Amino acid sequence: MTQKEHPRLAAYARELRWALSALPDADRDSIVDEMRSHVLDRVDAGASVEDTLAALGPADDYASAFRDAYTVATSLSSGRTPHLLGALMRNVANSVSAAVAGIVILGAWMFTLMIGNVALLKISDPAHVGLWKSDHFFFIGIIDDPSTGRELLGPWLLPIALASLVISLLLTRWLAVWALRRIAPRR
Amino acid sequence: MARDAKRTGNRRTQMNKGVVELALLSILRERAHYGLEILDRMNGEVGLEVADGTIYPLLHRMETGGFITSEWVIEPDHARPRKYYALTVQGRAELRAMATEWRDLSKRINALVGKAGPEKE
Repeated sequence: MTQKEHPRLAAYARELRWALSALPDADRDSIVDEMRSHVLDRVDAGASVEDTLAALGPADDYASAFRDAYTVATSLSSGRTPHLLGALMRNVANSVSAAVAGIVILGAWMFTLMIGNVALLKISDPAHVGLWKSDHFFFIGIIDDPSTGRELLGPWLLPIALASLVISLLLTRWLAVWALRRIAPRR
Repeated sequence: MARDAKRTGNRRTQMNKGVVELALLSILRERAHYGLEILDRMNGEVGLEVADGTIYPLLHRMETGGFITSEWVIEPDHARPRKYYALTVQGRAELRAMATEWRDLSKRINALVGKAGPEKE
């Protein structure tokens, strides 16, 4: 079959196979064979190879839909947070659920980063670092003159930063699974 | 005129996305079909305007989800094997649930559109 194959179809099959290299061999072969079957059926019905391939779109674009679905499915089955987060980020532009989850996760990590930095500073300079309150200000960070305000957290800043880290990790995992399950077909 | 046609096209594309899965499962309820057959029925019979490059990833996704199953079949009257898709038990259950949702939604939308009456120019 390959010897008689139309050069454009052979080239498209090669490009598609290459673009699907992340998928298991059996899946990749099946997708390429099905594309070939589709094109030849269209040609049998009177269409040209060129028009049929144009209707499928560029090989890489065509492959990306399979790749994305595979990434979501494998990250969900692996259950590993970095995989889940990677798959979530790749879908942020295509899914409202992924975008919402991404924004909440980003917010949680920005808060954790901020409170973590303050907690580290608290270790080296406990007198000037903390959550400060007076009649004129309320902030977390470093104060020039500790006598102008009252520090509210005291030694609790470090445990709170650690709790924030744990919550962010759990939230990242939970939201990524939630969003990816909404993207992937339910099993 | 061209802008109106484009707007209508965009509106239809958005609506189509929601019903393509329902149409796919409904087509497969009758018997197993191969990809091009499904595509031609969706576009010809249902008028969904599904792109050639969309149907196979959708079939792949639905198969990964366990709603459909596939099998390469060599037909006596056809030179090449074709990949046929059929509904699974889970796919039939999903179709029943989606059809119920669709009928409920259609009834509400029809009532809403009917209440609004014909648009005045």
